[in-house]
Amino acid sequence: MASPNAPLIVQADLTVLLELAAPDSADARGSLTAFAELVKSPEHIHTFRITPLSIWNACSTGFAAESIIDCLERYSRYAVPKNLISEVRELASRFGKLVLTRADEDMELRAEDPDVMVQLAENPRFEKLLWRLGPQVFGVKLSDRGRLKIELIKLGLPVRDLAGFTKGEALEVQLAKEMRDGTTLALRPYQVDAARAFYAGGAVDAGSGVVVLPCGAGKTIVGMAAIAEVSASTLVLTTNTTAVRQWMDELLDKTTLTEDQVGEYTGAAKNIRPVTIATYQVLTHRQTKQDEFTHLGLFDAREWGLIIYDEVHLLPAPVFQATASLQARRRLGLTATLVREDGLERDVFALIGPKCWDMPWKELEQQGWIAKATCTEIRVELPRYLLGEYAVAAERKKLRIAAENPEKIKLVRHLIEQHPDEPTLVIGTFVDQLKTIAKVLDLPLITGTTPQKKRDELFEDYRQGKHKALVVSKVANFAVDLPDASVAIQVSGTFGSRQEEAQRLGRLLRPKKGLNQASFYSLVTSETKEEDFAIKRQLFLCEQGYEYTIIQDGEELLK
Amino acid sequence: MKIFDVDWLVIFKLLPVWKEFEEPTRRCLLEVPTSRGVNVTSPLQINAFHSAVPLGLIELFKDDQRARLTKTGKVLIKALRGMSLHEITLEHSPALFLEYLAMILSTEERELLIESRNPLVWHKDSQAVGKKITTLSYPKSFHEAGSEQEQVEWLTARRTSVSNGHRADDDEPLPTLTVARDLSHLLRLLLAQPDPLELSALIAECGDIPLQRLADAFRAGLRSVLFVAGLDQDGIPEVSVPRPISDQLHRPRLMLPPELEPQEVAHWPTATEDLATMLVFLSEPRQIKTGDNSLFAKPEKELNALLSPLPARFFLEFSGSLDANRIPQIRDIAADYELAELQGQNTKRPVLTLTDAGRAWLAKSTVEQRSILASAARELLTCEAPPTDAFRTSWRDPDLEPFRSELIETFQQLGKARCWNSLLTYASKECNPLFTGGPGGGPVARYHKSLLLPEEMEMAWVEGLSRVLHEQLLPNRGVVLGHHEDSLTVQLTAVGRYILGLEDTLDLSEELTDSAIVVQPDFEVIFMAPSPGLEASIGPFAERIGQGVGALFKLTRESVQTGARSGLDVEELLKQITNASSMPIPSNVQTEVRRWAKAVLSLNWEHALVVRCPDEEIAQRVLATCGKYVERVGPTLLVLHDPKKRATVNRACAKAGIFLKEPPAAARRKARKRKGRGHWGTW
Repeated sequence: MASPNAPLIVQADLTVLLELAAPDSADARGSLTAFAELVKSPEHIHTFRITPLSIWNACSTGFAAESIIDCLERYSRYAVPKNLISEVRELASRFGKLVLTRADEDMELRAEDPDVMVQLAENPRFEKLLWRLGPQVFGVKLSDRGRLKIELIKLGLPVRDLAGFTKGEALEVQLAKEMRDGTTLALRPYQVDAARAFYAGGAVDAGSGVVVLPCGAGKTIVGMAAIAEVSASTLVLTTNTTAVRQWMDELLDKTTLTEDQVGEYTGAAKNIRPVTIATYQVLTHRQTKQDEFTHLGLFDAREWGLIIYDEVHLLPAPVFQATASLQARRRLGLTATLVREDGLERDVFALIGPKCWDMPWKELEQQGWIAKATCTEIRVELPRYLLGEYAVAAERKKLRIAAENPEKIKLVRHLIEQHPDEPTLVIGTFVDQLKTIAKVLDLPLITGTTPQKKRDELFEDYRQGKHKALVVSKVANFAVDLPDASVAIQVSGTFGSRQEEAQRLGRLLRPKKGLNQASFYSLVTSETKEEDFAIKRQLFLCEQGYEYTIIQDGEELLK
Repeated sequence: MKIFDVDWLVIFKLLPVWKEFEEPTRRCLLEVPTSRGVNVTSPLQINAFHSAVPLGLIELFKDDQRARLTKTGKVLIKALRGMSLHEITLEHSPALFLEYLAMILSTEERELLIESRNPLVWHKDSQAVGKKITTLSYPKSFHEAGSEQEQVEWLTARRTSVSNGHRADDDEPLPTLTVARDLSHLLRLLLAQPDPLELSALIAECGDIPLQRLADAFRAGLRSVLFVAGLDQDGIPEVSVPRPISDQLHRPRLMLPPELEPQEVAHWPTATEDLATMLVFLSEPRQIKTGDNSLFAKPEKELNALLSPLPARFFLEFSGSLDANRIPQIRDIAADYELAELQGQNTKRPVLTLTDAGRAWLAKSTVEQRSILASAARELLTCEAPPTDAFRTSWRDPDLEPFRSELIETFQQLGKARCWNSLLTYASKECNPLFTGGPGGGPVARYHKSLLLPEEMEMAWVEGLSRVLHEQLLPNRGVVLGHHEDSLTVQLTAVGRYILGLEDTLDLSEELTDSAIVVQPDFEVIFMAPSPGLEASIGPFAERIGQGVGALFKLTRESVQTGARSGLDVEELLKQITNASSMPIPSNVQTEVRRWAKAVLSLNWEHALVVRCPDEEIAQRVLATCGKYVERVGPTLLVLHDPKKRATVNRACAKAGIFLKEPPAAARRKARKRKGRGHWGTW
């Protein structure tokens, strides 16, 4: 019951505040993550939100409404609002009302509650998906499994899917004992747990779900561990070619797979092998908007036993549609956040599966698995000669003028000098600005037009320390592995995008030798539109729990 | 008809006989006129009259064809008929009671029934008189008059003055000590009866008192309306104290509702919070209706949206009236303290805007603001103003003291949380000053002239107590509302005790400091415990996103700038939240809040006349001629700030050969119109 030192404040709007300094906060957080989504995690108080999906996620892992309520009441500082209790009971009662099981060539959808049967029978959306087999049983085609689940989720009736999975084409694969550099491969405990939570020994009610881990926590390793658990041919979908190569490299380095077993399916190469890595882009390619997607056949090109969706929060809509017909295959989603900019979290839940593993970044940071990052915003004035131009410029142009403020270059130089032994990335959006910085500071530049070969060379040189800093455009936002980068200087950006900010910061989070510390700088022109965008970034990073410092006058630093 | 003005000794003696008659006989005899005879026509009359003749009540004449009352019969029937006119012992209504009074007393006598400082006029104050003598205070005032002599004086005071030459009761002796003593005995007997008592039974109860003395006392009692007499449904005389008094005395007693432990408490917004929100809102002048000076619907809606919502569950208990009263209430406070003022009253678009006093108010600490409003509420309850519309004059009136003391005593019961509705029921029935009326019953008569029925008196007191709760205690957080199962509970706080005059000093320190907040780096302010004082401090600077505990506010550029431009001190805010915060305020929050506040600029519109010169040289010449009045704002533009100096400038320039044309008439009119609209600051 309510106690003054309890760590939670449960609010009537279904949000839950967790005070980290309270005595039982660690236990409370452990329980809370099972049935609530972490919305933000600033330094002292984390905010969780209970949503229908979070409740159903919890129910799918065996949580009951009463255990959720018990947990809230046990850790709550004040009485738990009654509306929240009834909401939790109501939502939880919906899960499991419908059970999907295999029946010969088709499937059966069973409901104990006759009202639910009536509801489905009378709903025109299910006319073509269901046929009546008995008073409490509908028949369902195997191919309609995904569509049915999506429709049921829209109706607020999550189905318990016990129809199981096809085994897929068997593949002998294990995690390597030793890596190329001779070091022993040892999975971190949470990576092992995440992979096991996903596969659950091959149980029919597991084998599809999402693992949520912060950037730099080694989601790729979890994916590889899952491949080893399933031991079947696997299709990996990721965001871009660089990431495809990275996956391939990692698979060859950290598993027993050989080169002839791993195939790249991108714009550059179309190899379908027991483990194939493709981009979302190639899957959604079509000649014109009216044409069919050319490469969606890849899903049926082999008898895949596992499909991995890397950065599942970016999964494009056509891939969702294709995934709807792949429900018999095991599916693993990997992401740093379940929040989608397009709000399609429900589709992720229905088609990929419920969240099956989650670990807060703070815990990882405390255990030293990711680097401790500090965020600093440095404000710099626009030079007098640009003030007039800025004042009369159109809105879009204003942002550009502010972003490309030449005064930032001096600060970039200063910051690089402040971190003499730390690999640094200078990240920006506007190529002209990046070219100038690269030229003035004599640094290599990677942009969208840099050929892949050249990029790989530069990345390699950077890893080996031949270049102390790299100037990179937006191309470096996703899945580029730069293990030693510990300083990032953001000179311009699409500041409204939370994803971009998370990805850029994610470049720094891989563990570092020594202090395991990373620094993320943002240079912002004061008293301009850029400052307005900066506040959004500031809020996002603070909500993630990063310490955020503002230096009002960048000129002072130079003195 | 003055029913007391009969020989009650005769009647008392005849009562056994009258009771022996059958009911039809009694009805028949009551219909016989006292002034003339009647024809004996029906068998009923024959039976009735023949049975009354031997008893000396009726005499038959003209061969028994006609009948008339004997002298004795006249005395009896006159009295009984008078008693039958108003079934005063059978039912009670204000109108019926007043009719009864009008029948038995002259106007002057009725006016004398109330010992009031202010002379009563029957046609205006009849209800007050009716009220007075149907409350318990009336018989109590006789009983508690002191000695028998004082009781005699009490009775005498209700007799028509001899000196005014209009003695209505020439044949009635003035009350004596014996009369007072016997009447007191009679009254005690009657007050002990829940229902009317048969007159014969009353006489039997007073067996020790000789009938003549009893008759004198009875007569005095009827005359001073300490009790009333009537006939029951069978025509038998009965007597009782007025029905509201016996109802009050003999209904089942209620117990003080038990103490409860609230399962949940509400965090009610204080008037200081609402006021601060409104004043910040008025930092931009808001258009008001010319009719009643209230805000137009749109600004009112905007303001309503800014006020922190009332906690729904508790709010519903008050039938929704509180929400509607919130803005008028704070508007009144703002008007009383001149924190906001009307501008442009004579124009089509009058506005309400913040005054310097309003800005100064916002700059005060929350403790200071709370103290001022709590002290004002205390002043109101202890001295100046009444709790309900029905009490129209000052609490300073000694007549109102019983009300004030009863009110305070009732709220004092809330030292522990109790069910509010049960307390209201209890107070309205068990300690309702409208029933007891206080010494002399004055206030009842004067302030509740229209109340006669017990239900009305109960409702009036419930309303009075509720208004004190809603208008004085809740907005000053003088009480804490809670819920125990389905009951709304109320508990008095230290502030409430101060407002009610139960404490001499106001201590807000506990409320303001006994909590911790956490300011998050994402600008959210989390209240780890309820802190109404801090809510009031932070509210004007922040967007409200919740209530009670948890994430209550978010500091945004807009909210900080709105607060800052109202004159609020951002450093004071940072100081307060730093003191109240259990964690250091994140540096990015401090930096941004200061930067936002600093970015606020205050500019004023000004009316001015502009002289546009053809070239810079002429502009320079004009400046050289009358530079004292004009200011150069561009190479060829000069501005005259004070339009009154236009003529002076014209003359000076004319001397230098520069002739300034008057502005076109239309432009002048427009300028005048603009000027007439007033002059308010914009930001």
